[in-house]
Amino acid sequence: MIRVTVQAVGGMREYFPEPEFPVELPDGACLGDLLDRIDQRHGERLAGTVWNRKARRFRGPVVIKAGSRLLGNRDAPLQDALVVSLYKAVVGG
Amino acid sequence: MSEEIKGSTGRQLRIRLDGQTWRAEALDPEKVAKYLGGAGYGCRLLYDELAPGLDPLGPGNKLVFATGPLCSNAVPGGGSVELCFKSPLTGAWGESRAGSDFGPDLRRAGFDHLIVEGRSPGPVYVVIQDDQVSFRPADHLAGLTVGEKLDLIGKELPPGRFTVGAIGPAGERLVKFASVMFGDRAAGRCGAGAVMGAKNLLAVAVSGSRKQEPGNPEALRAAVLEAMATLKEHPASAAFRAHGTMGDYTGNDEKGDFPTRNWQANAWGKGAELFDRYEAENFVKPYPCYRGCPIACARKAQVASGAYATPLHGGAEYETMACFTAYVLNEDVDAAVHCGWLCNQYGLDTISAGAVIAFAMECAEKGLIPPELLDELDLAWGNAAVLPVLLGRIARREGLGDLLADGVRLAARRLGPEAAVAAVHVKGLEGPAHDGRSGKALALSYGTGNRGMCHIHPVEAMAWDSGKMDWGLQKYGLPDPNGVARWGEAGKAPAVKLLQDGLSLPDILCTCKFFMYAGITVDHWAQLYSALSGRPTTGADLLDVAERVYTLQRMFNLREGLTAADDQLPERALAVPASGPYQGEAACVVQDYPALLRDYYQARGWDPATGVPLEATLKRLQLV
Repeated sequence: MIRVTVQAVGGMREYFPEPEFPVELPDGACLGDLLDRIDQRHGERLAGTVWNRKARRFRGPVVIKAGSRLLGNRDAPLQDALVVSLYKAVVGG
Repeated sequence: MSEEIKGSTGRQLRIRLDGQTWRAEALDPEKVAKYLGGAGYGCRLLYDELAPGLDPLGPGNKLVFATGPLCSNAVPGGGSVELCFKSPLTGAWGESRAGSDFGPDLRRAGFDHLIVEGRSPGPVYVVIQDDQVSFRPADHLAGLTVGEKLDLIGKELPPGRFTVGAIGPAGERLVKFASVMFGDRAAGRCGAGAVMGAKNLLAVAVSGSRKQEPGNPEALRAAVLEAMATLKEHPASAAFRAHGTMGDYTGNDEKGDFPTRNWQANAWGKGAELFDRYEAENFVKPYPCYRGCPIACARKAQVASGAYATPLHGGAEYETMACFTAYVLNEDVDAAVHCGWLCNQYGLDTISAGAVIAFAMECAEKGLIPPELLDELDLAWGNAAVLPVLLGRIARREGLGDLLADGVRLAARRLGPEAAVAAVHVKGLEGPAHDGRSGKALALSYGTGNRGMCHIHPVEAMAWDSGKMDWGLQKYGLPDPNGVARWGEAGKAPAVKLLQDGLSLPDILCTCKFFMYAGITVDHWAQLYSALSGRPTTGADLLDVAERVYTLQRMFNLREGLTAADDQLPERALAVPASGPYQGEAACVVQDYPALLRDYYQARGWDPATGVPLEATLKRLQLV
């Protein structure tokens, strides 16, 4: 098993009960597995806002980073002790 | 290039359409140093050269295609051109920016600015290629869509890489919110397209081969690298590329930043559903609006088939989509995409176009439109089918379209006093798709914006008190947004003044404001400007320029007869939302606008009762 920490940063904080929370995943897990776990825990509550349940991804300008690395692809591999940060940008207009 | 003005061509091109003459003029280094470029230099020039009270659609108006010191493909955000003019829609200061290669190409042709004067006896277009300027007959282009014009002009141009700015049928018919289109990019607001149409100038094509030498090439390289590194790290860069401005569509609905049903509410509750549909069915890919843009927030979108089939085009920005959905309660996303494309082809500002249709729907509902004007149009809320029909009539000034083509302020006057409440505007400029009931800093900026009710010239102030952005301005005194209540009012006026100054800088320097959402600050701009110009300049220096420019634009408006009465918000923007998630939420409405306005005038150094800049302020800003 691996254990990653999800951090909701800035504007994302209001969408989660805690600013950061651990998630345990099987060895070899990738971003898609993490997103599926987020859907299980929070998907129903977030469905009308930042979470697209049908597409199983965040809706709108939510950016997922691990350090300085951008995680965009569901196949992006995750490692034990990784901190995955969720940012909600303001994209103007 | 002038030895005195590094990072500048040192020249501006002045063309006179009635005599088909032109001349290159040397720039005044002192003016350039005090006003820089873009909306700053443009305002100085127009303040000095326009007679007060002139007809914006008469030959005496001038249209300035202004560039600025950071207007370069090599500078992050530097693909920009700022059109400056007296607005036919408002009768006041008009400025309108487009992301485009036009600005950098004009500088490569050897000119910082293009000034268009007079009126051609017949339709013409102008070609500028390095030092050669020609006036070409354009009778064969009259009445064509923007796309058709660009195709034909492209075939007629000499060899070289050209960028073309053109008007569509709406500009030719003097629709007061006609745009100037640079491909699919619009200088949309305030009616620059009508000013060009009134001059019988259908297009301007520019190409150039000169290189600009910066004052300090090594420093420029370092400043660009630092800016690019900042952009790469900032999450907003990736978000802009992935979603464009449409990314905020759902969040704005959620936050009550989503004017709905002609501003009768500030949220709809359909944002997520419509966004998902757009993303699945209409969005195709991102693209850069100028060569080399590292953010690429522009969208290519289409409607593959059906009643609103629309070719792949640059469009589907947030404002366009919101104005053709929430404003008019249209749930057909295909129709909204199609309307955006139609506006590009007709040369219409999508915001004002959506706004006048929403106004018409409300007036029709209330029985205020005479039957002969209504002409059996079904203006029921949410009727998608009427939208493209009415856009065509507006562009051609037919029937009801002719009434709406002059904007909501005039249309309401003609329909009678009961229509006034449906006319949501400040100074005559229709409100865009951001609601001051989401964060009150925007409400104040709406009232005091020099070009009217605008969210982006100068600033989306709700992004501070509601969205918790600071654009790096805390070091200059901006309160930490995390300590500010979005619906609070006390103490916000000085913050709005600083926000307006800071976010005016891209319009003055001629860069893209969205780079400031992705980590670029006034200090980055100062670094870049110092390197380009060879003049050591700090962020504080740039903010001083911005304050000077903002006050000069104010003076322009006062000279045109505007007063503090024109700084008021429309009744609808001060009303408790009548429906939607914020229905009945009284806290979201400004409680004491007079106090906010008075505090704002004081923060600006203007008379607190009249909003007239005080003599001491004018002296401090070197405006007298």
